[in-house]
Amino acid sequence: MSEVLVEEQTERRDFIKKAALGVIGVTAAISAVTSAIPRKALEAAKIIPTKKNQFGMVIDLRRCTGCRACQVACKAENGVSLGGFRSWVNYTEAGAYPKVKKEFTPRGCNHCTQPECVKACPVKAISKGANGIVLVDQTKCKNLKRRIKKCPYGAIHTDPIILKANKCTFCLHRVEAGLVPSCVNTCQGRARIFGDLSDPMSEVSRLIVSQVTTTLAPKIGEPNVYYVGISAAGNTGTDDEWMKKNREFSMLRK
Amino acid sequence: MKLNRRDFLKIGAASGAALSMTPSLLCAMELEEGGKDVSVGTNWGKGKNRQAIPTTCLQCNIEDGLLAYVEDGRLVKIEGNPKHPGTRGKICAKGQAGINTVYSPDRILYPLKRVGARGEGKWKRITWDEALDEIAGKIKETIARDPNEVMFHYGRDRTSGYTKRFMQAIGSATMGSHTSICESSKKIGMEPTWGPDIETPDFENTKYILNFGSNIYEAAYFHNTYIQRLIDGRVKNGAKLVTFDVRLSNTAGKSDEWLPIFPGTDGVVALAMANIIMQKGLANTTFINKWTNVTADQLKEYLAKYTPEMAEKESGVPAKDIRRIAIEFAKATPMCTTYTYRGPAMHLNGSYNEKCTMLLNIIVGNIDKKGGYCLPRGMGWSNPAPKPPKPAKQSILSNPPEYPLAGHHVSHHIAHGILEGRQKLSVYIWYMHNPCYANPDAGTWDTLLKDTEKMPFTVAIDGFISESSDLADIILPDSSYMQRHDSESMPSALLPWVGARVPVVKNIGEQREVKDMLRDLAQRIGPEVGKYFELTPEQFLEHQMNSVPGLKEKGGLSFIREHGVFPVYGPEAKPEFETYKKELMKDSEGNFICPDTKCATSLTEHEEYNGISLNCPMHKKVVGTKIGDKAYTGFNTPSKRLHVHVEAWEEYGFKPMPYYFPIPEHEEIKAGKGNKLVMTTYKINTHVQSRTSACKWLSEIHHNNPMLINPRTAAERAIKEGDLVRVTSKIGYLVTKAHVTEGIHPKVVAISTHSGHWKYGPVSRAKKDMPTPYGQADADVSKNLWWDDIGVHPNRIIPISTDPIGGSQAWMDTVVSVEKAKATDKYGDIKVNLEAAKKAYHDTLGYATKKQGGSIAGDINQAIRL
Ligand code: SF4
Ligand code: SF4
Repeated sequence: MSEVLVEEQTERRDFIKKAALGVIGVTAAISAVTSAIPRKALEAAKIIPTKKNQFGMVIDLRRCTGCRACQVACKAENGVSLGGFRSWVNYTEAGAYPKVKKEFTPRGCNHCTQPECVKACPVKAISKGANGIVLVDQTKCKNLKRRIKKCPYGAIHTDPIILKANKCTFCLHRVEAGLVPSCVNTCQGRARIFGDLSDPMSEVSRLIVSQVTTTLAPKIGEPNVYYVGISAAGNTGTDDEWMKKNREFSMLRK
Repeated sequence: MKLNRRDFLKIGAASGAALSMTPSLLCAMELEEGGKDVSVGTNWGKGKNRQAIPTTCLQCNIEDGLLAYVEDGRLVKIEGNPKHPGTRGKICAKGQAGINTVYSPDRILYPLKRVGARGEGKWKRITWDEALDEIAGKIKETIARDPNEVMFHYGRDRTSGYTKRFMQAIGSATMGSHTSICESSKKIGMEPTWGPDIETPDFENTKYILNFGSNIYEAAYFHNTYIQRLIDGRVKNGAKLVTFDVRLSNTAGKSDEWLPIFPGTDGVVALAMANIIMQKGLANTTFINKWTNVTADQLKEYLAKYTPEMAEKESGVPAKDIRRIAIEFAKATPMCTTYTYRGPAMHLNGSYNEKCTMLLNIIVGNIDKKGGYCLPRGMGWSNPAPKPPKPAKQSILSNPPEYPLAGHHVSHHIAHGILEGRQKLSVYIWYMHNPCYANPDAGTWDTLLKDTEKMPFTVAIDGFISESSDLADIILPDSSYMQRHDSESMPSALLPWVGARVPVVKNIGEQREVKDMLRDLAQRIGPEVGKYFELTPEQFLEHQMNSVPGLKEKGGLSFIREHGVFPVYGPEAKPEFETYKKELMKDSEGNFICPDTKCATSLTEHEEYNGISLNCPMHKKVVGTKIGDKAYTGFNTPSKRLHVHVEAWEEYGFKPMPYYFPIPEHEEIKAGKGNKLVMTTYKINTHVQSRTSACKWLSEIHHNNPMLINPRTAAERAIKEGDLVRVTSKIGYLVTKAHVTEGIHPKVVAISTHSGHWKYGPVSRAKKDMPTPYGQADADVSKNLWWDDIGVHPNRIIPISTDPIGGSQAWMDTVVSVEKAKATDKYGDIKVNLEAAKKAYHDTLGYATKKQGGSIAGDINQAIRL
């Protein structure tokens, strides 16, 4: 079987790369594969083949080691200044001695299907790109901070140098070059899986269908980052102390 | 069978394979995972392609394979080398922050000479010629008198023998290392039993991991490569992870079971488990009888006194859990393993603890089996000729006679040794080390380095003006790990590899790599020393790479420059197991012959150590062991079998069998008398102990280190979250903040070692306005650095306490009292009593072997109420 898988992955890689670059019509791809997964399963998982690409991520918390390499890789990849994070990992400690557990929740932009930030920005600086990636146009941004507060997931911060909104782009520059986002590249536990949710045969789609996944509370805006094995405690959205302080600092910026 | 994607999908649709197979696809990716990199272009789109240079990490000592991406001459991105069999394309947060290490504003860029008194912090920039001439002159003058008066003390060496070569070339045996403040008791606990100083568990294929105080998720040796396999083992293979630890590390917090344990009692728990395994008939008696120097019956009888109830009394771990876990572990054999790096060894009874946990593997016979407790695999090289001879005289500082079994120096004793005049020094050079920060009783090092009589000339080879180099006469600016040449091989995977560190970018200032400095010094000292240093660091590396079997044919260093690692195995490669079972051949007369094919001499048999050893008359040593009618190369021990019984220990008055003694200073706490606690230190995943504080992306995440305390313990002292507390040991006190957490044993408090620099630069000290006259400023730091709490470093109040066998500092044994801070106490106050510190040093010498004047060794061996 492994032979088949290798074969299949290689072809998919080329395929997705082309799809990302817009070389192949997406609809053609979908019609070729929809028979593979029962439509009911797709509907139940809210993955219905559409004409639009939607990149998304599955984060398998059974595999996350809490190493925060993703968090630092993002800083390097995207030149993010001190005092802001596009990607971060929260720690939760739950239980009473000696029955205590830890949980790590990697966080960031959910590239929502109905993004609150897009709705909130009066100057239309935030929009959903062709791949479903939510992007800030810094030439339009007036740093009104409205969208920072509006994002239910706390995923937008003000870049301290140019004083513009800054957030995760799913490393669009890498995706366009046929590469996974930087956080996925470094992921020590191979917990992060990235791909096109509008393609029912993509690995992310299959995982969402086959595994129990959930999106982050409060589930507003149809988030596109899915978690395997998240607990109620891990899903509260409460930031670690250092992250809270960092946010306070970020909000003070004029 | 070759199927295309369409065929595959048809099969999938017909059989439901696409769905049922999904979980095994968890690691698959549709885009490429790595191996190339691009910059960000306009509108967040694709920019320029970047050049990838394979090299080896040195943020910590795991030595992962990297691809360093360079754009316009600047290091801009680092990722794991996908071809590297250990790293497998994945690196940790520290590895990702390597860019900060190269460009940190804390880094110094020029040779500096002290002006004013030591510690006054006044420097002037000098040229390399001025610096090296002065140092070479001092060394030359000293070695004419006594070469041993020149000392070289490294923290992290990684020069593949270059520093030792320099010292041998000048004739000095006076070297120090950092091993005794790290892991030496683990090494010494293992080496006599099976040869190597570490194990490489097959985490990927195992079913059961018994983790004694190791933080595999964050900081243990080879955490980055091991955790990848451990995760695979847990998710794909359903492996169970059971952790004994005093603190809820990320590893403990993610384990199937966390069993808090009283510090320093791992050994007795392991012995009780071993006893249960023997009693229940779950031991692999055939393996014990064939492959060890004891018999299963002897072992069973020996272990009988270590009952789970007794272990519960010592450790606090319930006897029923000890029984249950012992049985679970044994039933999983050979797919089971312990891992210990390196909590159990960090105690006064450290070497014993290590030996006890190792025994669990031996008795279930999982040694070097798939899914088991495997021998480390490595690859070697040779260094170029001519090689300098060994120094004529021994150094008492290097190898203190009180610790004849501690084969990895006892370097945390050096300061007292010099202050007490055990050996005279005229030149003290330290490199990639911060003795005034990293040692226990670190305050004594201040006294030493300020003493111009005992330390007339001192040189720091350092990337930073640290707590220690601030007291030096000359600082030579060390280049970062992205600007040096070293060969590397680590047993971080079951597939052995060799790699190299090569320059990736140019230095931004005048820094030089240490090899280059030593070579230049050697040549300035004179031709007698210089003749060993004709090759440049690059040529030296080239020689080493060409000497690796099979690599020269592939292109030597140029192969390494292209791929970063040798061999390039590919994804299908599988490791070998039971490597000790290489069979010996027979000659025509039926005698076994030497496994060295060039020798092939007939071997002689003799009975010893409960078995039959095969001796080679040419090599004049045992080269194999005969078991039944076959003979094997076996283990790297005197009998080629596993030495559960270690004679050398007995010779010095220690117990030869796996053994436990309670730590005398902990007796009252265990008995519930008084209100003292045990203070331990720990490491997290985003820092190494000292130098990564200069990495802004790491210090942004972790910059302070409050004392962890259990809610019950805190309540007894009316301590609340964030309160200032005073922590007092027998040598001093510090004032820090409390973090109240359920994740710690009620009799233990813990402080991480990563924080609290009082030297270094703006990032480490969170002083964004701090000038960097000898470095390069970073606008991101000077504008955006937002934190101000840098924590309090614990090492000053930790007294010296040394395992009399392995020589390790007993970091996890410090007895303290903890109370709310007094009104006059300020956050960060540290006060030490150096007289008390000196007494602690002398007290611990009392535990040393009786043969060298120790008075207590006999007692700890008898004082067992077991
Ligand atoms: S890099 Fe992966 S394993 Fe590490 S914290 Fe991020 S998601 Fe978790
Ligand atoms: S574990 Fe991290 S810091 Fe250590 S060598 Fe690997 S990548 Fe570098």
